[in-house]
Amino acid sequence: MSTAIVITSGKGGVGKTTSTANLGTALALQGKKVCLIDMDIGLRNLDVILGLENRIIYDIVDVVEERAKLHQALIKDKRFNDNLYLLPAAQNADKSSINEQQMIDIVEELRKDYDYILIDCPAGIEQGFKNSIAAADEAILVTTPEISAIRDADRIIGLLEQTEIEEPKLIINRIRKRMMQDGEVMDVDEITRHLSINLLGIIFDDDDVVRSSNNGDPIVLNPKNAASQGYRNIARRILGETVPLMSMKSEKQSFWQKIFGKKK
Amino acid sequence: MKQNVALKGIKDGFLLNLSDTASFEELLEELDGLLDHLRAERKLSGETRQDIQLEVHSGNRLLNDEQKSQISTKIEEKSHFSIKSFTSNVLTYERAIEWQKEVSLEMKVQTVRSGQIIDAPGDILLIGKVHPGGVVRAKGSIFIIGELHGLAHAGIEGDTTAVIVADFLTKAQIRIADSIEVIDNEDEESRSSKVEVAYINDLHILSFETLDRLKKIQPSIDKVTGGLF
Repeated sequence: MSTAIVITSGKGGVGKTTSTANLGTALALQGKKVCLIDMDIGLRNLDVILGLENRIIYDIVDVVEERAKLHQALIKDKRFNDNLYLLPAAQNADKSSINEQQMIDIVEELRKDYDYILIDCPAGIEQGFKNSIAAADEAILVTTPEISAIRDADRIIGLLEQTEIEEPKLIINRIRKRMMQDGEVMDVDEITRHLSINLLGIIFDDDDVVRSSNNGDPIVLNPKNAASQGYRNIARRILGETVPLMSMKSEKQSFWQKIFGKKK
Repeated sequence: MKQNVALKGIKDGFLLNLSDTASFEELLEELDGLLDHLRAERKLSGETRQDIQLEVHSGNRLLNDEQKSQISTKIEEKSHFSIKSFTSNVLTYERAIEWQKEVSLEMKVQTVRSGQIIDAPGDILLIGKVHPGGVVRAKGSIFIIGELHGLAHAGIEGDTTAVIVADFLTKAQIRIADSIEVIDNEDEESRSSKVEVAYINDLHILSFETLDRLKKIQPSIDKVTGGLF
């Protein structure tokens, strides 16, 4: 039984691509067959943060315009035992190069071979968004605690309500614990209550996410990192496990830790 | 012989009753006869008034536009009457439903999210939250049980008697007909609600009153008004 999940947000830069890469990776590490689709045609990014950009030969527009077959365009990520594949976006085309029906056809074909198809949706609500949601069964909505991201997320929920997709699940990304604890941004409960959808998980803001992206390594490959833990928890929840939400409390450093560096 | 077309004097003019049991052709024929007869009488009596108001009543028959136009033409050409209105005992099912919507209080239970617009043909009772960027519009009045953080626009077709009842302890914007008011009360200390009536007063200014004054502001607010025709 294959599930197509669109990862969307409305607002740009909140972590859709990072979340798609990391959730895909985490699901693949759990033994699921995963295909990632980059729908940001014209400004592709998913290949970059997975470290696969120099391996692209054909892309989704080549498939739609029949210059290549679907299996020729799929790139295997060699790190995951044949479980993770990427269908890259085109760089020299734009979002009007595909329509909703073509998207549905591609996803239908992928369903035969993959347990999870994760669709990385571009920012905005135009054709790119419409294409991305056309073939999705479920939706994951990514937001940050910033007010503009929350406003856009609300808009997206309104648009998704008019489709047959199940109610989206929420990921609150890039949480800065200090700001939340000081009441300078809405806290997890407030955001969830305001948007009135179910919370799938939270990810803490972490410089290491940027570092590892720049290296082409999704952060989930680093088992000791908090953001990585967050993504792995979310993957387990997607698979049906009940995993408690990560704690908001900052660990207090003891005197010796402050002198000799952070506790492992 | 049965008379299918009858003229009667009423206050402010005349009433032309068209029997609903005759065929339309019979009506037109008899109307011809009646108007000819009247014209002859006018000549004899020297009556010169023009454009006397005439109401045409079709009983249990529903006249369509074509029929109305045929009757109008005849009356205009052959008489000194000017048609004030067509009335009837009946109306179409569609028009009845439309009318019911216009004079009813519509109820919606939902959260109005950013970018969503709710339109009501009459008054509306919204139970739910209006998010910033959400819009509630009505030809009539708007009553909100919940929080208003977006835009509520009552009387969108110009009805300045429309009101908005909501908890105004928020940041929002309201409009009644073409008056606009920005609500900026979120920081009012030590209050938990500010339920008031927004309305257009005699000086055509959008103002606010406590809820107990709603009946004084709008005495007919809980009565069905508005015509069918």
